[in-house]
Amino acid sequence: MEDYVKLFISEFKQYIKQLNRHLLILERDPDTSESISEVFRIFHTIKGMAQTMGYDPLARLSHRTEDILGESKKQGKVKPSVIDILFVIIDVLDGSARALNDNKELPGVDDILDAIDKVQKGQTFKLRKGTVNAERFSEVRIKMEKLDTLFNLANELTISRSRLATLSQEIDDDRLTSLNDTATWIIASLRDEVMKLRMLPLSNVFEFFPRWFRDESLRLNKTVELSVVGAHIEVDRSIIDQLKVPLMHLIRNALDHGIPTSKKGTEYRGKIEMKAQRERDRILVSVADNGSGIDIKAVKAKAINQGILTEEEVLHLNEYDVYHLLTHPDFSTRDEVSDISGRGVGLDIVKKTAERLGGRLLISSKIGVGTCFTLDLPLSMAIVRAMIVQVDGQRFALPLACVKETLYLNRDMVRKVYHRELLPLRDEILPLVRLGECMGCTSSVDRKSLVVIEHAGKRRGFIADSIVDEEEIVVKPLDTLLESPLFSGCSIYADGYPILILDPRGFV
Amino acid sequence: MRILIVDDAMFMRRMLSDILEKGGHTICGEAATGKEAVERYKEFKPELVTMDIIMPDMSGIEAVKEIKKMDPEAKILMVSAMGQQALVLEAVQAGAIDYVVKPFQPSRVLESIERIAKK
Repeated sequence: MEDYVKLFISEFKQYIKQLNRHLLILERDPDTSESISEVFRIFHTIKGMAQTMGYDPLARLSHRTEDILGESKKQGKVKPSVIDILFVIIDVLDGSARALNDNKELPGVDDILDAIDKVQKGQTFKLRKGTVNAERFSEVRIKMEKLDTLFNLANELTISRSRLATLSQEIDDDRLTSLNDTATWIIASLRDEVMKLRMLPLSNVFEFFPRWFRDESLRLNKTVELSVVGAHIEVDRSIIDQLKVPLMHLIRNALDHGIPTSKKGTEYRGKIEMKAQRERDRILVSVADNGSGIDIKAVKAKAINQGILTEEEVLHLNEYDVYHLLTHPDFSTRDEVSDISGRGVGLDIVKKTAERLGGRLLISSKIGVGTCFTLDLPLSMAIVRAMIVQVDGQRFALPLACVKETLYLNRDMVRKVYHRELLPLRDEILPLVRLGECMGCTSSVDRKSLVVIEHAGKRRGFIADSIVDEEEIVVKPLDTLLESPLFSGCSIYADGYPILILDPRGFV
Repeated sequence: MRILIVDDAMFMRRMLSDILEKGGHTICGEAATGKEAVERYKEFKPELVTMDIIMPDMSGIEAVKEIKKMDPEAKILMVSAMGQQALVLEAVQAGAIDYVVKPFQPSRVLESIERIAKK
């Protein structure tokens, strides 16, 4: 029986997705006969399945839905009120799918059946709170833990392979060398394949939005079109899992703050584009609107008003700084806290997520043309290219994404202002960080290596004894006992020794 | 009997096939649409077809007509959800031999097949 339940749930969820897709088509073109027939057929199939499993509420609901759809079929089009109730019905189905999944009782359908009666009589319907569970699309999850185990094992194998290579060089035996070459090739292919398994198309997150967007824009009473581009692009699931919340914030912001409320008689039609594009080993996910753009003067005034900056400080801000004021946790461009964006603008959350994922938030805007927020993220967080530096015999890894340049540093190049060490570098004054001191190591090397890093718009010069290597490293989380703001994780170096990965955020 | 199962829901096909196999029958094929049913019939020449009615591409009734055109001796058992009496009648007129209504009792399905086998 358990097998049947599983099969039922999995097929049922597929039908819910198909229903959402067809309803969005029907909302645009209510007389698309193929979609009317498909929606009818799917409800009919769900009814048969539910009856067979003895899921009475589901069977009753789909049976009743078939009735109203039968009328629509005859009329050759679906009325807007019917589309509205169908969306609510799908929400109930979705809640039922989750209940079955969690082995809980199916939600009641009496309220929604009453609402269907009203729609059929041409009356308006109002549902009591709680009829529909607010969280709509539960994600389809495969047992990723198993994939993670496989990935970790492949990585362990890579580390063993590096040690085998060292040993093979030491022993210098032809048979061992040949075995090592074969193992190297197989292990590298294995790791690549496992990496690919972890990649998922962005549609896993993007799919959620059209339907959610429809409801949000209705709530705000705004006529806005959402287009989605690049859903086929694949990224590591560690990134996918984190994308939904920041994208919800960005789209809500665009709806709430970017797009003006449409005025009757005006030609303006709000458009929001959610787009993903790949740039080498980065992924750019942007949310752009064709709204009124960010008013720099208003942002500055608000920053002063809210005590974030003084009038004096505001004078020195460039465009980039002003846009990034929006990501300040205390910043809100609306006087009243809006229902949709919640407290403030919420961009601080977006920015923090981007940084946690090893990326950044870019903002561009033009008055009267629109605003674009872009999350610039790595394709994967599990493997990063890193620069390996050495301090007092200890090696540390620095994510290459934040390394801007490297140079040699002699003592006489360093300036001291109060207790801070600075380096005049071209037209900037670079604050220096002695990694040895931060780590509690001593170092007697005279000529140091300097790594210039940039994070969240701030640059620092990291002083190390030497730069050892540039490598792809596998990021592993640190045990909670070892957690420190200076480190983002650890890895095992090719010779089998562990190395700590420096977190630039801890230093800037 | 060698049976072809036609239903658009994988769940229903699986359930039917389990019932029929437990009853000692062989499942020679499955189809999810009316069109597929006609193709599979040509391919497998089953002794019996269980046929759903509302399916994509081609309805079960159309598929019954097509199969009967090809093979007037074809034995087809309609399997329909409740509330489809008019359609079941139409299917029987088109040549279906019997029908069972979802949710079906395994015994009811097997009895119906026994009856058909004796005919």
